This record gives sequence, structure tokens and C-alpha cells, in this order.
Amino acid sequence: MNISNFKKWLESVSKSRLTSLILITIALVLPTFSKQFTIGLPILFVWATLAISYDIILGFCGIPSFGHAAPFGLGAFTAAILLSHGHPLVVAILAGAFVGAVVNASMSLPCYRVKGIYYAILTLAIAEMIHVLISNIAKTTVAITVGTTPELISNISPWIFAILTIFLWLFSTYAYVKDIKNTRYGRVKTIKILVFAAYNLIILYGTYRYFENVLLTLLWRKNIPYVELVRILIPLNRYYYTFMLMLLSYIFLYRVVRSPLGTIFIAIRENPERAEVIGYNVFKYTVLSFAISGFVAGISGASYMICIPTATLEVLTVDKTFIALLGSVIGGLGTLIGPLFGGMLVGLLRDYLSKIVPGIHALFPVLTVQQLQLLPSAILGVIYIVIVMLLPYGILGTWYLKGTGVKRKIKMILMGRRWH
Amino acid sequence: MTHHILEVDNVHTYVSGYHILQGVSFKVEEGKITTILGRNGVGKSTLLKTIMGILKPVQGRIIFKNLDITPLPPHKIINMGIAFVAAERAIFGGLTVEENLSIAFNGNREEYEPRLEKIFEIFPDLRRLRKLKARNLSGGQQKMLAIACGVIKQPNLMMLDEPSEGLSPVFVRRVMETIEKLKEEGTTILLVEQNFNAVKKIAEFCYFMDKGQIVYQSEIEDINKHPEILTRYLGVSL
Amino acid sequence: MLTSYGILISALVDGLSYAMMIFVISAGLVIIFGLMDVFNLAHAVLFALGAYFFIQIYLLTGNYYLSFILPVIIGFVVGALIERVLIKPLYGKHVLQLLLTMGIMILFLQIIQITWPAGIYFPETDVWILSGTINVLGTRIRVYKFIVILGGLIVFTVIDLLLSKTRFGAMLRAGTENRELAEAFGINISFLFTIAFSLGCALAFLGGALVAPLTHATIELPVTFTLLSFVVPVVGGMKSYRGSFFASLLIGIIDRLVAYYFSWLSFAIDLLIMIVVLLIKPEGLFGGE
Repeated sequence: MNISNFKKWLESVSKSRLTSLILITIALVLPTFSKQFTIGLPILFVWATLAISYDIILGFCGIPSFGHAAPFGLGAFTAAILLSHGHPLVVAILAGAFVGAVVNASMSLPCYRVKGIYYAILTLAIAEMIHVLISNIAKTTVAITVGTTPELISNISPWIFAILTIFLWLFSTYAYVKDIKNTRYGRVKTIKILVFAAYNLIILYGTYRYFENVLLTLLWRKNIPYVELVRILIPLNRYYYTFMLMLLSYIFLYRVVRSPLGTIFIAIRENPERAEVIGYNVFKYTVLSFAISGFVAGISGASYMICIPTATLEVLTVDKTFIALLGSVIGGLGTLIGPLFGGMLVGLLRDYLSKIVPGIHALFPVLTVQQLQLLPSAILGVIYIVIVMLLPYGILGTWYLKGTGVKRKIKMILMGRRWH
Repeated sequence: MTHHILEVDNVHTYVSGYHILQGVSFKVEEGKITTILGRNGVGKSTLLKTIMGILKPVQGRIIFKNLDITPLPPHKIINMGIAFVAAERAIFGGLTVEENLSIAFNGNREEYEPRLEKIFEIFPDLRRLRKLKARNLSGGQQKMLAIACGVIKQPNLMMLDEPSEGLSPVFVRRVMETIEKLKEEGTTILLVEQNFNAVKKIAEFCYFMDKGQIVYQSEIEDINKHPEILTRYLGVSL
Repeated sequence: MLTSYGILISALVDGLSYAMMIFVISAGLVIIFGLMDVFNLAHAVLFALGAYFFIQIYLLTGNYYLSFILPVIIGFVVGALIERVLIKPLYGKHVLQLLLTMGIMILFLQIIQITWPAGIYFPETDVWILSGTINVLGTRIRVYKFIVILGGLIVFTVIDLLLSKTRFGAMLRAGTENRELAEAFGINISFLFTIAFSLGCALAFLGGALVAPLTHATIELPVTFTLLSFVVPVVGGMKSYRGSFFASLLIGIIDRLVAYYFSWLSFAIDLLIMIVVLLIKPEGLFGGE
């Protein structure tokens, strides 16, 4: 690949991916802003990864599966077992992904005979059976402790991510400046310049804090107590690893969905009989979609083990399926980006609602704290029902579908009524 | 002054995204046997389903007994005095003959027995078969049952979708005789058919339908005088 | 020798009462699904709710009959509300309805856990039928298990009579067979749906109230029976209440017998039966009329 081709590639990527680049760069810088972000976000990335894996089967293929906890949970267990025996993180993740793919693909086999709702019920039963079977066979509580993964205390990765951030920042700045030069409408230009300034401020501030908190510590202080080193490195690495796993999974699924394979999936969703008649072996593609989905679900399971020290049976509970389902539905089935944020939103809601429990307890001391622990899930259930009834396409989905009127108004305001 | 018991006014209906009825308008005169003729796929069944309320038109009105019934749900429309006999699967196979009749019946409890008796007078075969599950009846008997289920309502308007379909000529004759008897007792009949020969003896007014619209209308005498009408609109000759 | 017969009989009684429990849940589920194509994932949770209400009311009033009747009425009202407010607006959108009933299931599960975090237990009473045991061939068997079996048989008979002998039952069967034709016959399908759903929910609550003295009301109840309530319709035929009856017998008895001898296999055997049936006859043993 010579220079001019590379330049052309840069050009094309920069035009269409500007927003994503900006968001990714900001995300890479976020952990330095506040410990809250560093600690709170990784698990959200896990749920996002889980949700987008689910979107492939329900959103793109249109097949309702209620057994998504199985590839997630078994992927998590696989990763946990490997990690606890000292294997490298990459191996654990890939193994978890592979297990997830195999499990999910196996669960899709009954699709040959059984369709629709019958199939959904079957998947729920199978997932629960796996849960119960393992719980019954193991006479004691199942818990696999991962211990400290070497990768998590690596002091190389902060450097790698620093370099990556700088590169992305340079690239996005270059693309943004080009875009601003090409903007015709004054109003839009002003807004873009403002956003650009804000963006750079964020990045600069983040870089400053990063330097101060992380890099300086690593560079200059020679005899840092192990405990303090670990305190800085582990949350940071957790954040970056889970973020990268989510990003890579998303890019992977994005490529799948935009490929001819993805179109076949959509064909299966819209009209399976017709797809069959045209000549596609619907069953084969169904199993393939489940395998791909299971692969990413396995990744999310391994990702989960990066955040949580011990793998217990709770990774196989229906609760996980529900997160995937809820996240996908709220975000918008079939949009892929919707479930990404939907998964994070669901995780955030669970977390936030759990936090305000003590507050509610103070107001309504009638119920005990234990009882109130369950309120978040109940509220989440209500939100879910409301979304299903009012916004069946999810937040993003409805925006795509019905948002043209609003988008038009916004455009008219920005461009001063010269565009219609 | 002719009274029109049913008036269909510029009705457009979509089915699964397809524009089936593209502006259908016609009137049904009270007390007469009106037929709508057309080939397969022109929208005849869709038209009847729209009148009944099972399908809702996106445009246009349906007026029955001077009331706009377009927004009403099917059961309300039916209970205003319309009966419908479907083309295929016109009765419930899993129910007995008597059960079919009992759920078709829509009057007061006291009137049930006498009306049932009357049905058995008109359709003596059904009395013999009353305890049998409807799916065990022959095709012709099932058709008779379907019509009986319409008659038991004592409707003002009876709509039949391809009543001659799948029947032997003997049965077709019986069905047409039954329909004529109903008309004589005051019921208005709306027949939808693709087989003109089956209805030519009893039809009084004919509409021809093609591509989702009414394309021609005439009294039966005109058709007998000018059989080329049939060739043009039905693609068949007598 | 005699004691082993006794154990066998005890296991059999166990299996039969378990089968009747499963049947009462599945019957409502299958009738609703047959008519409306709505698979109520929340059905087993409603069943559990009936049990919770029963015990709660019994603890307050001590009156068995009242504790039995009230949940049934509550179940009917709850069912009507759910159908009118949540399900009817989604008419025709089956995937959404499915997702919705799942949401209701989760929501009610949380509500149960919030309201009764430790579950509630049916107290020991002096009434022999409720709390006493009977001696059969050397083994002690809870008398109430026979009541449950009797209750299940009564429910089956009543449903059978309702469906086959009444005009309402004929309308239900007609609507299940061909919804559009039923509308053309002048049946108010919308109202029929609401009534059927309400009756199905009332049946679920009734089932819960029936079994509560035996099983008590804990979080195990909705969880275990949710899964079983899925397996039975698949095995018996998704739209056949008769199929549910025989499938419940099959699964209930085999499940309890296996539980006696190979306890770790207990849920897996149910799933195995389900998979076998799916492979041989996917529409269920009594399905596809």
C-alpha cells in the first residue's frame, strides 16, 4: 500500500467516521476525569457487548431466543477457568468466544423443526437446564476465582493506549478541520467550530490529567509500593480492555451486518420462505448467525471476568438474557448501535437505581433495604413494558423510522431555511 | 323509489401492502339478487370482507340501512342484519352441525328452538346429521350448513362468496334454489361469483369487477341479449 | 417388601399431585394460546401469586373457603386488566406480545420478592385434610396431596364440560379454530379474548391457591413452574388442553420418580422428554388437529 492509497483511505474513513472517531477518542480519555468513570463504565461495556451480540439474532434475523445467558455464562466460565490457571488473557477471551459460539450454535439447531414462539420457549428451557444441571452436579457452590491476571497489572498498556489516543486525536482533528473547511452554511460552521474547540479542550484536559496521574507516576517514581501501583493500573486496564473488546466486537458485527451475509440475515427476518425459495439455506444461515452472536456473547462473558473476580452460577441466570433483551429492545432492534447504547443504558439504570435504594429507604422505611434492592429490577421491568408498548422500535429505531420530520426541522434551523 | 339497503362508496382497501380495492362503488337494491362477477384475484373476497368490517378501508364508506358502518367492528355489523357465507372453510370443522348453528344464531334464547326447527325444514339433511362434527360432512353438505348458519340469523342482507365453488351441478342447483327461496321471503342477496353459468338463472342485477374496480353493470336481461359483455369482462363466453 | 411398595405408592401419589399442579397451570396457558396466539410467559408467576395470596388471606382470616375464592376473583380481575391495557393494543404483533409477557413475568417476580422476601409458609392446622397424613402400606402420605389430585381432576372435568357442552365453549373452540370466520359469524372476538384471558389467569390463581398448603409460597414456586409450564404445552400440543392433561401426567410422574432415585437429573429429564417429542412430533402429542 503506497502513500497515495493510504491517503485516499484516510480521506474516505475520515469523512464518514468523524463522529465515531471523536466519541472513541473521548472515551479513551474519560477514565482520567474521574474515578467514577473508570470504575463504573467497564461493566457497562460488557453489557453493551452482550446486547449487540443479541441484536444479531433478534434484530437482524428476527429469531427470538431466550437462552442468551448460556453463551454468556459458559463463555465467562471458560475464561475464568483458563485465567485461574494462568493462561494469557487473549487465549481466555478467544476460548470463551469459541465456547459461546459453539453453545449458541447448538441451541439454534432445533430451529430446523421448531419455529417462532415454540423456539423461544425451548431456548429459555435449555438455558435454565444448563443452569440447573451445573448447579445440581456440583455438590457445592460453584465459584471460580480468577486471581490477579498479569495483563491487568501490565504497565505497558497505559502507554499503548496513550499513543493510540494521541494518534486518534490527530487523525480526528485533521478530518474535522477538513470538514469545517468544506462546510458552507455559516450557522453550521460556527457550531462545528465550537464543538471542535470543546472537543480539543476535553482531550487536552484529559491528557493533562492522564500525564499527571498515571504517566508521571509510572515514569518517575521508582519504588512505588505494589499496592499503589495496582490501585492505579488495574481499574485503568480494566477500562481499556473492556472498551476495546466492545469496540472490536462492534466493528466485527458492523462488518458482518453490512456484508452480503448481513443482507441474508435481514432477508431471513423479513420473509424466511422467500429466502428459502430464492435458494438460501435458511437453516444453515440461522445457525451461522447464532454462532456469530454466540462468539461475541462469549467475548462479553470473558470481558465480564475482567471486571469480576469470581465466576459463580449467576452468570447463567435468566437475568443476563434479560439485560441483552432489554438493552436491544430499548436501543432499537436491528440498528446495532442502538443496542450498544441500550445495553449501557440498562446497566446504568440497574446501577443507578440500586444506588438510590438507601435514599428511598430513608423516605419509606416501611420496606427493608433488602426488599428495596429489588426495586431497580422492578422499575426496569416497567420501563421495558412501556418501551415495548410505546416505542417498539426502540429509541434509536424509532428515531430512524419516524425522525425525518424532526431531523428536517433541525436542519432548517441550522441552515437558515435554505435547505428543504 | 328504489331503496338501497347497501351502498359502497369509493372504497380503497390494502391487503399486506397491496392495493386490492381501488375505488369500488356500487349499490345493492333491497329485495333483489345482486351479483358481482369477476375472475380470480380481482378483489371479490376482499370486497366482502371490507363490507363486513374484517378489513378496514383506507378510504371510502360503507352504508348499510342508511347508517355508516365503516368504522364498526365486525360483530356489530353482522348483528345489524348481515350474514356472510365464506368461499372455503365456511364452517367450523371441529364443532358439530348443531354447535355451528348455535353460535351463528344471534337472537333471544326463546327464539332459538323455533328457528332451529325452521332451518331443519329448509335443510332436512342437516337434521339427520345434527350431532356430527362438521368436518365429517361432504363438501356439499358443508356448504348447506354454511348457508344454514347464515339463514338462522334471519338477516336483511345475505352475502355469499362463490357459493358454487367446488360443488357438483346437482348441489349448485340446490344452493341456487335455496337462495331464490330466501329472496322470496324478503332477504336481499349479494352474490359474488366467477362462474356466470351458476347464477344466470337467479341473478337480477350484475356488476362486473376487474383489477379492484367495478367496470360494468347491467340488468340480467341485457346480458342475455348481449352475451359479448361476458367475453369482454369475464373472459368467457356462454 | 411392604415398605418398598409403600414408597412406590408415595412416589406415585407425589407424581400425580405434581402432575395435577402442572396441569392446572398449563391448561390456562394453552387455552389462551390456542385462542389468542399469546403465549403468556407470566402464567406460572400468576400461579405463584395465587399461592401467595391464598396463604396471606388464610393467615389473616383462617377461613379456607374465603382464602380460596378471593384469589380466583383477584386473578380474573388482574387478567382482565392485563389483557385490556397491555395485550390488546399489541394485537397481531406476536413477537411484541411475547416480549411483553416476559416483561410482566419479570415485573411480577420482583414484586413478589419485594412483598414477601422470605416467602410465606402455610401454618400447621388442626384440620386433618389440610395438614394431616394417612398411613398407606407403611408410609405416611400427606392427605392434602389427594385433595390436589382431586382438584386437578375436577378442573379438567369442568374445563372439558365448559368447552364441549356450553355455547361459550363452542365459541371458544370456534375462535381457536378460525378467528376470522368466528368474526364473520358475528362473535365479538375482542370480548371473547378478554374473557378467555381473564379465565385463564383466574385458573392460574386457582391452581396456586389449591397447591399452597402443600408447596407453601416461596420464590422456588414461580421459578420451577415457569419452566415446567413451558415444557408441558410443547409435549402435549400447544393448543390442546387434553394434550396438557396427558403431558402433565407423563411429565409429572416421570419427574417425581426420577427425583426419588436420581435427584441431580430432575429438571434435565423433563427437558429430555421435551426434546424427544420435538424430534418425533414437533407439534406435540395431541397437537395439529
